Amino acid sequence: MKRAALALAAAMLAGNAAAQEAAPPAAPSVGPRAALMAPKAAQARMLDITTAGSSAVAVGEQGVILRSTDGKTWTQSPSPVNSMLTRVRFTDAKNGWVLGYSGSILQTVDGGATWKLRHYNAEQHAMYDILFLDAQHGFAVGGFGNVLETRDGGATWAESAPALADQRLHLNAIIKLADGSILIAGEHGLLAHSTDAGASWKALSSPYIGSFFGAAPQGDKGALVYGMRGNVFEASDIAACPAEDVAKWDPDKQVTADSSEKIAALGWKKIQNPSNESLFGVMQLKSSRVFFGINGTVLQQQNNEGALAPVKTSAVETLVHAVTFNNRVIAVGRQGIQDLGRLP
Amino acid sequence: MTAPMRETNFTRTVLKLVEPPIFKWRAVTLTVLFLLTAFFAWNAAQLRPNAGWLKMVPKEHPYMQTFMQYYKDFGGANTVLISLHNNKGTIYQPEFMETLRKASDDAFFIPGVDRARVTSIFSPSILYVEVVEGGLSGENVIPSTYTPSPEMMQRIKRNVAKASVIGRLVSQDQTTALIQLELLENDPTAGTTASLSDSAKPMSERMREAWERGALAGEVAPEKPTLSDRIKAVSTLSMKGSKPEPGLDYVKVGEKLEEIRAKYESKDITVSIVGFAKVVDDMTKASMEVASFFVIALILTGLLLWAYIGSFRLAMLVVATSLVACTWELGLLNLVGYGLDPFAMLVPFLIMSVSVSHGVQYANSWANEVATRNVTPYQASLATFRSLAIPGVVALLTNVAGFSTIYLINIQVIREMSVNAAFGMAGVIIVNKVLLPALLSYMRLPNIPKFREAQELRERMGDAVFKKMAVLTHRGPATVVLVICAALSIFGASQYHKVQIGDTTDGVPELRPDSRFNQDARAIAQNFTMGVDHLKVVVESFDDGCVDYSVASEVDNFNWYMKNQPGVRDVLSLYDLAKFAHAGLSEGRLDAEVLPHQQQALAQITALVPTTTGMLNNTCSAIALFIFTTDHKAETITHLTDAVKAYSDKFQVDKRIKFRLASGNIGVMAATNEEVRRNELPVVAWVYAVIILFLWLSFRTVSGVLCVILPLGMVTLLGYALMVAMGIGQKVATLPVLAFACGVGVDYGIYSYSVIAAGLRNGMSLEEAYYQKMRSTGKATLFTGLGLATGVALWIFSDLQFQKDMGILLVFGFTTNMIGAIVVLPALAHFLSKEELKHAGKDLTAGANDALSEDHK
Repeated sequence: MKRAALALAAAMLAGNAAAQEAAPPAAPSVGPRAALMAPKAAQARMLDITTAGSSAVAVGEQGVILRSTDGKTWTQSPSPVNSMLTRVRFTDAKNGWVLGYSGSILQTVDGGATWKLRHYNAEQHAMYDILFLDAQHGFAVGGFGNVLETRDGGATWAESAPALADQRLHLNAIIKLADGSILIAGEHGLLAHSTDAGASWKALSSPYIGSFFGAAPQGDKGALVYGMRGNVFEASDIAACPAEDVAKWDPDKQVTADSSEKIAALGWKKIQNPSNESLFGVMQLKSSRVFFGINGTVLQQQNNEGALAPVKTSAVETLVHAVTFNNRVIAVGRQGIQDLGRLP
Repeated sequence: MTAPMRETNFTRTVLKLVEPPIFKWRAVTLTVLFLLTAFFAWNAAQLRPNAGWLKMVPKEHPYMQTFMQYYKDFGGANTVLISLHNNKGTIYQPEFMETLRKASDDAFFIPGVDRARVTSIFSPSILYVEVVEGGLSGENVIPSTYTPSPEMMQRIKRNVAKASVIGRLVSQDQTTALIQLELLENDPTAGTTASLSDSAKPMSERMREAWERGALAGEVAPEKPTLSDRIKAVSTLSMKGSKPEPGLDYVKVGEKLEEIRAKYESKDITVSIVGFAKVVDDMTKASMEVASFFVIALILTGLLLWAYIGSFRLAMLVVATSLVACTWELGLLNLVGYGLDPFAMLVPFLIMSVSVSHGVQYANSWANEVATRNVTPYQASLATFRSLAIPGVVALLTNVAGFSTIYLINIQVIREMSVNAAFGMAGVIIVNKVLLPALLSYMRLPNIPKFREAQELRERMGDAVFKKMAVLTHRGPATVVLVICAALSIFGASQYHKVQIGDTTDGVPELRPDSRFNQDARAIAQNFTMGVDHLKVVVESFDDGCVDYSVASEVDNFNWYMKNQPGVRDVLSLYDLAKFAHAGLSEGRLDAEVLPHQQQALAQITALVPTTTGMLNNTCSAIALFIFTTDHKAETITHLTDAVKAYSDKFQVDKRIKFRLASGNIGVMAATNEEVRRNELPVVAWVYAVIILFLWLSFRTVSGVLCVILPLGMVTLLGYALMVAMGIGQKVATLPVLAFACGVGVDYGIYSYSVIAAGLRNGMSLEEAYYQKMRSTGKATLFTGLGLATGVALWIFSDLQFQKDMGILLVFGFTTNMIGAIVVLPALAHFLSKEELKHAGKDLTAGANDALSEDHK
């Protein structure tokens, strides 16, 4: 569908076809450019936020990496790339990873003060998520089916999961479920599951053909997935869901399950949502979880069950994620870092 | 006084030549002058207010070259913003939305508006694209099926958020919506950039060009223009009237904007309007008020004169002749095709002032002769003429030369002021050296004994004070005065580096901070990231360069670099919209708000941004980057232009791109400030050089030059300290003031010193000469200084901030120059004037005394 959209749009712009004929002087070839140390970095588009020890770390466009110990003042850490950074994950208070465009993978060992570039390829698309199964073995997934794997703690990365990569779909999230299996959520309703630490992948029969932007483990073997146009689904046992070899899975043959019976037959349950805005992130609180999405959408689900209910906040523009920090909800999105205060 | 004197042959010769027309054939002269005055009065009545945007910019400056080159593609800096604020909540209420729609429609019919660039959420070019499960979805923010229904309001609300117009066309809290217009300087149906720059030229220059080319601008010129071609071209030009292409009528635009405000403002809706056109309209209205100041100043001067001279008739004669000088000035102005610019309102005041100042000297001296020596009015006038004509004309020529130096600044409005002042000075010379002497020769004082009595009384009153003041010529007091002056001068000089170039306030500098306009500007600035203040940088690459990833990413980096500069509210370019479109095509995901590497993808998303947005040109070889700023203070502007240059030098990787400064109002201000900064010292240097030259020519002594120039210099230096203290910047409005104040200041000095020098040459002691000077010209100087200061002091109450600034500076200039001439000058003379004794016996007054025995036939 995305490709169809591109083709359609490309047809609308025949006028720019001449672009290829002209012979402009060759562009200078450049490697990664370090991020500008920017006084207004906190107003950049911010794509992810997490906590590491006693500080919060957020990443965003223009290679911005920000740290704060109070949630109010943010200090920029120098970044070796100025590409848009899409994901920040810490395995403990000191060790963390940042992903970004041009296949960027950055590592810190000092809680986010300094970062080293571990993987970069100007021609590559964005990396969207990272998961370490143990200190040495990890996966990073990204746009157009990009799957990278490391077995040396992130020092080197190699392409992995060729069958999954061949689907050329955006892989938006990679999570470990409570039972130790791995779930990847992606474009076109793709849900890939591996029970053997990423050696082989199965594609689930998806209840939805729009994109999933995120996933979270639920229960001892279940998962929650959410994405385009406010679609949120949960499954209590991923391993029990009907699935086939990812190489045989054909995205164009998928259809959205249009009744709760059909969805249940696939092992899923649709969570009622009054809004149809796309959702990009979820934050687990003690007794509820909160979803964030387009146009400042904030939705809350009490006790992790039942329908979602809108929450009024000061946010107007797209939010993608949030953390609770010093008892306040610090969200990131289109307008940078926003303090949403205490949620009800 | 009958002692034989060696005559200065040169001045005698000159006077011999000019005296007959003034005195012998005075009836003919007066008739001619009357006819000329009537002609100029008729011309002056044709004068129209004329404030052109292009007139206020330095067109030769490299920034302005960029501006002109891309004027067609990216528009200029002539933006008008109309904001509608809903006092009842968000904009998504049917009644409010209807008002917004009607107001947007009305905006189309404002004269001169570029209809392709009227932008509001109702514009068809404001759209959003998103991918839904079934494919592409997108529509205008206001759907084509628009009706003012509550359901539609919800739909618009969703679209607004998706179209990324919050902060641009809808305020952050969504209670205010914006309509953005761009005005074309000329009627868009006729306007081309060529004729645009052509109509900005003064008529004289266009006349000259028409003559040289034998064709009008925009026409094909014949290879060898014949005489008839030339005559035809020039006559066609003049037949079209002095304003063949009147440019945009800002008053009309302003009226239309006020109409829109009146129509839609209610208790529920607040309408704010900002933009240069609105400023001009407000300025033009406020300058009408200045006309009333002129009348008040005139009456005040008349009353002061009456009190001072002691004759109502004489006082009115001086006021009336000064009005004649103003009439000449305005008439000549219209004759060469200029209009009256609000900035140039200063000039008639100045002409009036200078004329009164010279008229008083003349009338005072004449009355003195009549009252004390019992001579005929004719003899008195001739005697006065002989003693004052030469120093008077020299002083006036010095003024002319001083005013002319501001012509160095290549900003048309300043040049017009310079020419304008020169016309006025021509009027003053004719009036004071021809008209007034001729009229006075007919004048009869109604009651000479009474006049004499009053005169003597006044003289005695002054005498006691002047006797005491004469102590200033003694070594002790003179030293004290000079030490204080030196200290003040050093203080002034030390403040010079703190004088700001350009504007120092954050509102629109032309208007007062509490004016409705500046309130509106603040309201809009609070709600929107884009305001009126913006710097446009033109990014030049190559054909289709904008779809080259390397170019795009360089611009993106530059954008981020500029966004992080202090004083920047937001930066907007084609790529910001393109990123948004890219995200729209990528399922609306925030992490897709980037520029794609692939050229096709880049072409696809940039193509969604129409060229009518003024963000890119047709060949995509140039794009405009809008940098919205928090204010237009000079230091903000300098910082930004420096930052642009620093990026090119230090950070730019893709050298195929040129970041060219500049357009937008901030770009224009940057150019103006740079032009002012570049010329500020040369102008002062030229003014002084010219004044020194004239002083030397008139006195031929170092003493004469120094005694006049040193007090003047001190006033200039203290003027800088005053500007720093009052927060007045060096700008288009204030730069000429210093030159003008110098011009008027030198008058005082020349009159004062010439009398002292004449006394010394006649064998008086310095103390005696000074005492005599104070009784004659000194008293007049004192009076004029106070009178002029009172006149311009009214400006401090003007609604126009720049007139207030000018008023403060002029009051300061007039009074301190006066003090300089009566206090500092004698102190300097104590140390310097011995030189005059070398010329002992030479008559500086050119035989004034002989006139008393002459009679007219």
